[in-house]
Amino acid sequence: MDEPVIKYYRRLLKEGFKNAGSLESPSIFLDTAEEEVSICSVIGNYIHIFLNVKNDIIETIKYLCICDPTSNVAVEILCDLVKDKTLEAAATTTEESFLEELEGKSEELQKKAAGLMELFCKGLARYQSIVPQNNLSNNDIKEKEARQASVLGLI
Amino acid sequence: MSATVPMISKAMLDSIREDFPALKKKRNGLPPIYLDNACTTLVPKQVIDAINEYYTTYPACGEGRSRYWFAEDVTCRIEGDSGKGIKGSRQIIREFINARSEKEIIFTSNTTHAINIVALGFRFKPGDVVLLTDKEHNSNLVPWLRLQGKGLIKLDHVDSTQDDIFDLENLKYKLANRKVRLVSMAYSSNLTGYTIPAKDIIKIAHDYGIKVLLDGAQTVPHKTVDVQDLDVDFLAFSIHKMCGPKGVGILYGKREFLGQKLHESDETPDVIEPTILGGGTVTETTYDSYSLLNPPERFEAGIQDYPGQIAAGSAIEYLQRIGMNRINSQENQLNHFLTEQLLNRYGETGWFKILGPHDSSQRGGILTFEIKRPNALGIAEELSKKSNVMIRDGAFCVHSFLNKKFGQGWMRPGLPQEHRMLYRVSLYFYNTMDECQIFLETLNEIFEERSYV
Repeated sequence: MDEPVIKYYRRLLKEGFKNAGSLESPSIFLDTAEEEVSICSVIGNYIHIFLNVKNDIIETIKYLCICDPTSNVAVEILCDLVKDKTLEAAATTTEESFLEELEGKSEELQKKAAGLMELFCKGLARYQSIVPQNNLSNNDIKEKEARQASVLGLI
Repeated sequence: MSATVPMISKAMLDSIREDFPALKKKRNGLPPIYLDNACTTLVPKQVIDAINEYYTTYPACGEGRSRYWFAEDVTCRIEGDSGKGIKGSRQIIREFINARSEKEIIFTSNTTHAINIVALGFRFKPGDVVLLTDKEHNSNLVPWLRLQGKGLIKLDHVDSTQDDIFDLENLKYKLANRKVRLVSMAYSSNLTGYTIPAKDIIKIAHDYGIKVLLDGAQTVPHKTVDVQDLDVDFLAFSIHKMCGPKGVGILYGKREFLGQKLHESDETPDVIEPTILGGGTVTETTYDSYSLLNPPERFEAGIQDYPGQIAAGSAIEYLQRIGMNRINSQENQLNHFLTEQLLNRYGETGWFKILGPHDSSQRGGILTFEIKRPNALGIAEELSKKSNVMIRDGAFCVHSFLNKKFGQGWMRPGLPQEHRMLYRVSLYFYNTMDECQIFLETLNEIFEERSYV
C-alpha cells in the first residue's frame, strides 16, 4: 500500500468506516460485479454502493464491500466527495479530487478511483434515463441529454 | 522428527533448485517464492526436455495407431519397449503407485476428469448413497451433486471431529445405516492438508462390500502411495501437481472393475462403463455396433496428450530420484517452522486461525489460515507485489464446507469490520527455509501497514 493510503486507512480503522452500510430501496444501486467494473484487481473483491437521490441531489450514500484496504479508502472518499452534491456535479468528480482528499499521491488509489467513477457514471446514466421527465421542458430535456452525453463521455 | 527420515541436504536442495528454470527468473531484482504448490507445481528442465523432445523428435500419434518410425518412438515411450530397454511412462506410473498392471493405469486430463470417469461410469442403482468427507474439492462434489440432482444417487458426508480429523465412528455409523454404494473421499484435503486414515476407511468400507475412490491429488505428489497396500478400488491424481505437465491426470482402477468384455452390457454390475467413446476406444465398428478395446484404452478416447503422457513419466522419475520420503520430510520441516512462527506471532490475537489440525505433521505441506480483520482481502496480491511471494487466497474450490462454516455469502459485500479471508501456503520439496522467512517478514509488514498488529 502507498504511504498516504496507509495513513488514511489507519484513520478509518481508528475513527470508523463512517459511510459503510446499506440503504433500503435506494434510488441508485451500484454493483461492481454486475457492471463488470474492475475496481479491485483481486478476484472476489466486490463493492455495492447505495444512493438516495432527492431533487437531483445525493442525500445519502452508503456502501458494502469485500475488498482490500485501498479499495475501501477509495470508496470512502467517493462517498465523501459526492454526498450532498447534484448528480451533475457528482458526475464531474475526477481522480484528482480523490488524491486531494487523500492528501497524497497513490497510483493504485487513482486506478481504483477511475474504476469507481466509471461505475458511478454508469449507474447515474441509467438512473437519469428512467427518472420521469414529464415535468421537464424541451430545453430541459435537451440540456439533460447533453449532460448525459458528457457523463457517458467520461466513461 | 525421526533421525532415520532422509532429509534434503543444503547441497541437494541447491542442486534441485537449479533444475527449475522458473526459480531463476527475477522481478524487481528479487527471485520468485512459489508457495502455491497445492494448485500446481513448478516444472524441472528434465520434464520440459521430455516435452521438447516429443515435439522436435517424434511428434506423432502413439497407442500403436500407426506403425512407422515416429509413432513407434511415441508408443514405446508411453507403453515401454523391453527390447530397447525403454520403460514407458505407464509402467513408471504403475510402479510409482504399485499397481498390479499397466492396464490399471488410465491417462486422463486431470483429477477432475478421472473422478468423472468413475462418477459417470459407475452403475448406480436407485437409492445408492455416495459418501464423501465434509471438505471435498468441487471436483469430488459437483459430479456427485449432478447425479443426485438427476435422482440417480443420494449424497452424504462424514463430518470431521471437533479436532478437525476424520471421524471413523461416524463413518461406521453411516456405512451401517445408509445404503452406501461408494465412498469417494479426498485422501488429503486441499483446504487443510489433513490426510484421512485411508487404509482404515477402505478396510471398513470393504467389510460392508462398499468400493472406495480416493481423490489423491494432494497426496500422491507428497508421500508414497501404494494402491495394493491400501487395497483402494480407484485412485485419481494429477501429474501437474507433481512437477509434471498440465493437462495429464491418472485414474487407477482395479482391473476387475475396468471391464474386459467387448460390450458394456456383458459386463458385471461392478464394472464402470466408459462414458466417452470414439477413436482409440474400440477394436472395430459396423454401421450398427462397436466392440470395445480392453482397459485402459477404452477409457482414453481420441488423440491423447502424448507429450504430456511421456513427460509424466519423466516427472515421476524425477521425484523418485529425490525420494518420496525426502520430499515428505522437507515439506513437514518447512510446515512445522511456519506453523510455529505464525502461531507464536498471531496465535493469541483471536483473528488469526489455522484451518485443520494445529499439528503441522498432520497437514503435509499445506498451511491455510483465516484472517478475520477489516479488509482482510488482497494480502496475497500484496505479498506478490512486495516480495514475489506467491500464495493462494479464496475458497479453494471448497465452497460447500466454507459456506457451512462461515455462512452462505461470506464472500459477498458486507461491513469492512466483518470481513474475513483465507490464505493458503502450500509447500513442495524445492521450497527453502529462507523463502519461508521472507514470507513471514512480508506478511508481518502487511499486517503492520494495515494496523492488524
